[in-house]
Amino acid sequence: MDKKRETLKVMADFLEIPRDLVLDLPKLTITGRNEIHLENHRGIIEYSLNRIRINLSRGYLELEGEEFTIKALLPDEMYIIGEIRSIKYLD
Amino acid sequence: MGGNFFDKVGGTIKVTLRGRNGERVMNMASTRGVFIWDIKKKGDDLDMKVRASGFPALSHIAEEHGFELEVQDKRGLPFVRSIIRRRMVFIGGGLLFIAAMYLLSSFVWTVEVSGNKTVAREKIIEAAARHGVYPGAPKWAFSRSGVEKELLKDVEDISYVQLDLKGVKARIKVVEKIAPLKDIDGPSNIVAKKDGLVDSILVLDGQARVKRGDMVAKGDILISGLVIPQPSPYVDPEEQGELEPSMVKARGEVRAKVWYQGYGECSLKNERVRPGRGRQNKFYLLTPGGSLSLNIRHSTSFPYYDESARCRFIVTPWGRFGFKRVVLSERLKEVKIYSEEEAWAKAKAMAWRELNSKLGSDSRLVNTKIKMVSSPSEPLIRVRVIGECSENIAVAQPINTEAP
Repeated sequence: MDKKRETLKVMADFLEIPRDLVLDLPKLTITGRNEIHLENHRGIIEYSLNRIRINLSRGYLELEGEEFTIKALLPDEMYIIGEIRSIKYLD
Repeated sequence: MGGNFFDKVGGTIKVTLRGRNGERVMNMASTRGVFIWDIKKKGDDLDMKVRASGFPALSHIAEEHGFELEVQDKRGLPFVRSIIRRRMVFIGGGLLFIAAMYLLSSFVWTVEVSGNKTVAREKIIEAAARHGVYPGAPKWAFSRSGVEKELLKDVEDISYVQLDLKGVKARIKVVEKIAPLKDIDGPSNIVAKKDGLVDSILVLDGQARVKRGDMVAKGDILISGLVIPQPSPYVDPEEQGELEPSMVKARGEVRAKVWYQGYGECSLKNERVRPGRGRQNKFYLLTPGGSLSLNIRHSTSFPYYDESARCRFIVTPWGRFGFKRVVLSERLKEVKIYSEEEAWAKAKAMAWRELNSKLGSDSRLVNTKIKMVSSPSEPLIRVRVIGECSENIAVAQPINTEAP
């Protein structure tokens, strides 16, 4: 599996294709302190007003803050608003 | 992401998902392609929005995993029905109005005829009515081209018909036939057009029956088409044999003195009514029981006025219903005093006008005489102008050769 990923990574570099497309890597866009746009997620693990945990292709993402609302949820995209305190990548 | 145009059209539903670990339902929904948005935790429950089209799938997922789904709010076009139900009478009234408009506009209300000069308007209207175009006729009951064809057949003196339907108005435009001038082919006489004193006679063909200085009456033969040969005094009558009368088409010009007279008068004190600026409208509702006045002010504001009324009505089995508008146009009365000279000039001018209107294009005025005919006791000046004209009074008249 790792070997395959490595090959894909090399190919993506060689062909100058963005890695998030080839390797299914998550892409996180943070606007200010209260808007997060996340692409290539693998589902929500936990959602509450103060904490959101989102599954990724490798590990998961943990957001902490206040008044979280999922403004939109699509198969591989989501848009979250709320007061963000921390963003952590965990395995 | 919600609240856009397509969500409004398709309809959106706000639901509450009851149960622990609502994330499972959210993940399932998003992987199955059900778009959900505005997800917010409320205690143990989750509030979210879903499109009306995705709602059955979402409720199925929730049921499968032992969650309870409660609908909070429905928005969008499919849910406007409840509003419609509440406003049934209003919407029904609107629909009824549209239906009535449609129904009423599918009839012919007025028929207009234009382009006719010699053909009577009534004749065209009557012919059109025979083929289905009359006030109150349903528009679907006739075809325009059909009526046009039938009208052309029915009314002989028109060469072209166009039927236009403008709303509830039927406009019939006609072009009349121009009749060719009738040329006389066979033998003909020349007769007098009017009474007169023959001044000169020029015979081109035929035989003169009058000579200069003769008085002729209207219809007298001036130049005969029946030529009776005269025996020549220089040839022996036996050599000439039997001379047969022959028929010709008489041609020639006969000028005669014709008298015309024009008369004019003018009173010294002249009362004249001229149109004023004032207008007043009066409206009446016509019902079979009588007419009902719709006017706030019943009095008339002018001492003298002209009335013209316009009626619009429909004929129903219960009688005539309609609307009448009466327009009162103000008239002003003026009194003018003329001196005798002025009155004389006016009367003379009037007499001259009358005389000139009687003259034909061919007549030449030779002599005129102006006479005052009023008696001194009258407050009126009367003038007579007598004109002596020289004009061609010849007119051809065919000879009926088919003797009875």
